[in-house]
Amino acid sequence: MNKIKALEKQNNILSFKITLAMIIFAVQLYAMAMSVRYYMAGESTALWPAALFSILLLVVSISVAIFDRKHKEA
Amino acid sequence: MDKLSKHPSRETDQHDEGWREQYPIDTVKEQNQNRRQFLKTVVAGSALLACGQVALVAAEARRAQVKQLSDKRMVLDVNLSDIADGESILFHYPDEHSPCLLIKISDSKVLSYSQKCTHLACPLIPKAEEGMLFCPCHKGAFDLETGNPLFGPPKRALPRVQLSVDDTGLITVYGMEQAL
Ligand code: FES
Repeated sequence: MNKIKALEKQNNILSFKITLAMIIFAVQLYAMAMSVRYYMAGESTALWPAALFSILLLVVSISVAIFDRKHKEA
Repeated sequence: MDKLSKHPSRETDQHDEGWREQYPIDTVKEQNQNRRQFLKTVVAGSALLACGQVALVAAEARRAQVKQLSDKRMVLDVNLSDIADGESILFHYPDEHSPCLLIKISDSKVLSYSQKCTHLACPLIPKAEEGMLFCPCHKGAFDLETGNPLFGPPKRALPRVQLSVDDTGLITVYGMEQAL
């Protein structure tokens, strides 16, 4: 019974991590689309913050993946 | 044939145990593995997008550099008298990555614009007889006299190249009204 519960928990954690990574990806995609649009329109003020935001999201995403690996190893 | 139609995993007899021992596939583990692979792919996609954002910032920095350059003086190596009325020539200003068009309307009237469409930077085709600069990419057009968009996707006017022509027909380019 305990083993099943542990498996379920592991499964839920993995699902949560995948969902989080996908949400991050979607937000980055949106930010990229907006940035391209603004770049084409010649407005550049939002480009730097958008790039920083995207990098920050990437760091979160990578942390999730690394945590996943540690979790797997444990 | 009978053997083939029976999937080994569905067999319930002793043969099943032998098969499992030989190919010990843990379904849960395998499923998790696939999802972890997917997680990795999503993170790789995120990394690509972040790189794209940084590339955009770099492109913007380059554009700002071009903007700074765009008040340098440059004498074109073509004389106005060598160009027929309604004809246009291509030159690069302020750097070799910035194509510009010079259109001669008459001896006293010369127009010059950046050749890059303000929609998605496609090269424009001058159509002097129709009074416009046409973009074949998405069928956009700019007014030849003002550089303002006439129809199609472009919303911004074309950057205008400032130039002067002396008595001998020497063309000097000295700036851009609104650099791309
Ligand atoms: S690039 Fe010129 S209309 Fe789209």
